[in-house]
Amino acid sequence: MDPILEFDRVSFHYDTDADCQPTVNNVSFSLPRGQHLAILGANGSGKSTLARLMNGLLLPDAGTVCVAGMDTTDENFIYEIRRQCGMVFQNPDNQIVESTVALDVAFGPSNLALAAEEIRIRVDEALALTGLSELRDRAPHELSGGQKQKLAIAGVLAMHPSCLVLDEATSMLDPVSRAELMQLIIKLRDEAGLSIVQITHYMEEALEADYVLLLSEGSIVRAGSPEEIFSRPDELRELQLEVPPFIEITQNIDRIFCNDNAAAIIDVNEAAGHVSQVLVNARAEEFPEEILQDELFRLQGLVNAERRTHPHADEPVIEVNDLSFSYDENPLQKVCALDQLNMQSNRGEILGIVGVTGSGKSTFAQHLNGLIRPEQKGKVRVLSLDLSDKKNVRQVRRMVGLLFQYPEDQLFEETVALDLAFGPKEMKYSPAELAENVERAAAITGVSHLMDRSPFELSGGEQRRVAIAGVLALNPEILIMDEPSAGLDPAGREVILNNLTELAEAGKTVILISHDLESVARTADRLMIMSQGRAVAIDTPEKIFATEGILAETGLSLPTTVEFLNLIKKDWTQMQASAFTVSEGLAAILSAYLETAEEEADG
Amino acid sequence: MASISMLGRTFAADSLLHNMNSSVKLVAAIALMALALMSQHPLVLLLMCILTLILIKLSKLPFSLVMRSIRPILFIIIFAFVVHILSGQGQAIISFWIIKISLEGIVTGTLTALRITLLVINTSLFLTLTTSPTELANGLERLLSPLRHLRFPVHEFAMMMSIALRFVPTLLEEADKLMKAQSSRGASYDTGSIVEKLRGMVSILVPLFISSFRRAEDLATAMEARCYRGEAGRTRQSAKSLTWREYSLLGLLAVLFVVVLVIQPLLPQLNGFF
Repeated sequence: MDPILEFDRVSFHYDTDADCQPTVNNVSFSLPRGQHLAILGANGSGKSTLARLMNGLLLPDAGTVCVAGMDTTDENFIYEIRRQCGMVFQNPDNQIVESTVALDVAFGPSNLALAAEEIRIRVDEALALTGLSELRDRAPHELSGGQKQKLAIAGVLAMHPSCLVLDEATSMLDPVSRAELMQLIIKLRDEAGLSIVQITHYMEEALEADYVLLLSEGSIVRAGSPEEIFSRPDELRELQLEVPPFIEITQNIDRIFCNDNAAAIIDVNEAAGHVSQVLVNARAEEFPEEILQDELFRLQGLVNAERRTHPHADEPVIEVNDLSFSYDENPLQKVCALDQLNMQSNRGEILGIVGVTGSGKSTFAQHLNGLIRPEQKGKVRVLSLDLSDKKNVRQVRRMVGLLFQYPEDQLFEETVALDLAFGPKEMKYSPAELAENVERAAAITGVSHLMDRSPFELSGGEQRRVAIAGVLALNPEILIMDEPSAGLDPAGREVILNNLTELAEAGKTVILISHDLESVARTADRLMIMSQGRAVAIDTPEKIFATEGILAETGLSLPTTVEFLNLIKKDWTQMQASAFTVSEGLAAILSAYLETAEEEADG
Repeated sequence: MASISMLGRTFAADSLLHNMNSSVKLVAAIALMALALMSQHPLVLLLMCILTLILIKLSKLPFSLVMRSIRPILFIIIFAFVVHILSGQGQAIISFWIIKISLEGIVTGTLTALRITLLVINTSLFLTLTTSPTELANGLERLLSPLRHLRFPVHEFAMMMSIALRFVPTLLEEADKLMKAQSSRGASYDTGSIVEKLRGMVSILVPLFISSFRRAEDLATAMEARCYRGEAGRTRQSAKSLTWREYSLLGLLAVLFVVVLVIQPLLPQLNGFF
């Protein structure tokens, strides 16, 4: 049988590319039916262009693309190709055409001129498969991001495709929805026999695939099974990607204990079992402890270098007492967003606020700079100013910078310099003060060299930094950011988080809001866990991960690295399981091993 | 923003009004609009009010929810009322300084306010609250289909309308978010001179336009990927067939036109009572 998808020496470049650097360069691969392919690459590596070549939305300049044996350049086949090779895009809002769930699922089949009765059957079937039957009469804007993406998948399924292409379809979702969507995709692959092409920069998603392609500057730089691909962490880092820390920890354990193991272990349980076994064997063989001592010493040096400590005073800058708030926008349901919330944040700390979607994080953040004022109940004091008093709002706005999700959407001026000056101008800063503040903000975020460019021609990561600089230009004491790293590739995420750490070192208070524990836990000094409008815990990440049960009730999932260490901890109870980086994890494992060895020697 | 986020929202329910043929609903909405504007006599307006209340009841939607649709234009209603009161016609019952308030002014003011209210409530009841944008577009497409002979792109026009309506809530949410974001950067939209306010609006409108263009591009790609090729080879949405419900509504509207056009001029003027 034909492979479902076949690329043969395909090249493509956009007409607007003056320098003629092809966006897709001599790409060849073939995907057998029912298989799962993941395509990894940094932002701008040509992934989305590659996706659009798969169903004839774009046509190759050179080479051929065949879907189930049909050439995409043959106009006779184009609608059959698009039917067979369905596509789900990144932005959940921008691919729903019709005004209710059921009508939207019917959009594709209607375009195929199917009979009304057949369309009805297919819609019911697609809704059942994706679990949306209950929501069939809902309007698109009443759905969550994850539900919208499921709807997009249902719309494709109703056309009875043989291949599903997901172009960063999970990148705008929260971790819970992302996991749900991933489950759905795997179910469709295993039960309905669909071929899957998944373009992503979430490495965990690629672990589920049969094959992985690494894309860089439009070319395939490596192809192979996930085990092969993830056994080369340095190569991935060079491509602005990353390896899940647990895989790298396992590989390093093999290296330290002199085990030959070429392929990476990509399953958490398997990897943890493997590490435990290696340690047990080492104890049995009495592996020379000096080697481990040296290694641990080196690792601790790395850990200290990575974990930059910054001074923070005991001076509270935010105090919130008994804050409650509920929305009454929809007359049919009243939503209680905040419920007697108490918290306090000190000058110079990085506080991570983590909770699932709907836990009240965003409502809470809007209370901190007076976008919502505590009219109903409770008190919010920021830098000793009471926000119940309307007169304080303007002053607080100046000292509290708040950035929403995807802040680059708010850029609007002709040049970066003008955009950075917008806030200070509105706040009536003197020209000298304005220039100084704008320059400082640009320097902190590293956008000084972009000042004369239009914000709209920058890359996603650069735009994000310009947006942050736009708020820093007011020289705020406190910076609050909702999902600072959402939608960026691993390298882009790292740059933003480093910027925020530098700010805290300079004495600013930074508040990071996220539904992703993993991304925040590494950077934050303290975490505040939110659930159903309450702050259920505020403590250091170490203590929060060590206290069992806190996270389970809130619907948040443990970072994979912590989960991995917890699995090893079952055998090596001495271990401290809250580590976020490779060196921290390795250090924890080695010290647990050495301690156990010492105790046994004593006893 | 509470009132704005209500704009253009459809509330699903299983009611007579929800299940009606959307072409008929469009015709009814236009007819009721005309009727509200032509109703001059208090008795006729009273009749229109009662009819509207019955229609709300038939829609099975909560009364308060339907009434919310006048919120965005409450200002205009009050303005119209005040202008009529201050118009100074007729015998003054209260007068101080240069302000003269007459009973006649109050009555015409009330009637005008009532007319605008009826107009808005009936339109939103028929066109947005009980009809999804897709149904509305289908209704429009069927109504306009004779224009095909004049080479008017009926299908494209209806599709455009439907997509525009579908994105209204999305764009409103985005505008709200942008306003909050720019406020956090120091912009203020409720204070300052008109020039300052206009400059403030630029900081919302420019990003909104840019994102709308991006949305349009994304949506076009998504539609293409789902085999959309215009009207050709597309399954027609089968219309709900006309039943006694539609015929009785159309009949009722015809009777109302007779009342407004023929009977209304014959009614005794009530002005004499004042």
